[in-house]
Amino acid sequence: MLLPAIQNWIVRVPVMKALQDSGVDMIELGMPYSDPLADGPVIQASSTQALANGMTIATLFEQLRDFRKQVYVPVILMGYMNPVLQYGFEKFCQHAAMRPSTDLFYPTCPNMNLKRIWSYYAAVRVEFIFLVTPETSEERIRKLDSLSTGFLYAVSSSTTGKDKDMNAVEHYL
Amino acid sequence: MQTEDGQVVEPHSISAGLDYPGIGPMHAHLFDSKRGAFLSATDEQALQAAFNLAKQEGIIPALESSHALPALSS
Repeated sequence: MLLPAIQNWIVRVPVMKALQDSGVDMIELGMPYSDPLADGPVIQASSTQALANGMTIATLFEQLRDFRKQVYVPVILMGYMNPVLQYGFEKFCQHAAMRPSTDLFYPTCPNMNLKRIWSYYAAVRVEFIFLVTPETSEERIRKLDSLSTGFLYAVSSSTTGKDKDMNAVEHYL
Repeated sequence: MQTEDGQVVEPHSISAGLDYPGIGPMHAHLFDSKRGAFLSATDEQALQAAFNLAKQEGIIPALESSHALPALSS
């Protein structure tokens, strides 16, 4: 996962290109949030630094304007709903769609809001990614799989960035 | 309590229970529907009201509840 604005104001398109050249299949670009409750201490700290550097969604979209001239792997925007709602949900979807092959993924979007936002996604043709955890029932996994238009994100631990028992992770996957 | 960019603002209150940036949906609805009046009190007002209630009535209030007392006096 790449968090923009860790250094200066730059989203680090060169970093994205370097990752691409190293062979990554896709890049997850985190949109920093003040209360990243679904993330561990490493990403929390990087979010705090990015926000201190002045990163906003508007800035992020501006810096992603021409990234497709250098980066062709899929890019996933990962974030929390509150900054998106403040930005304007419809505007956010439209601007995301203007950056080709960007998908969206929110850990904190309650299921009850889906009907309201689904029409926006369908209209701008942006893929939507759901999360599942080791605690998610098979029934719910199948339901989320049917709703997800991108892929299912398998959360392998309670928070990101923590040490993992890889045998347990492999069994879960 | 949030910035224009939707980032949560660091709150402050002398009382632990009110030192929190969010409210529940019920209070949000009462505000939007204008069925509730929302007043404020400073840390100093709440603390002084707590002392006054203790001296005058022998009741030691929680600092959270003490915020309601300045509203009564005004």
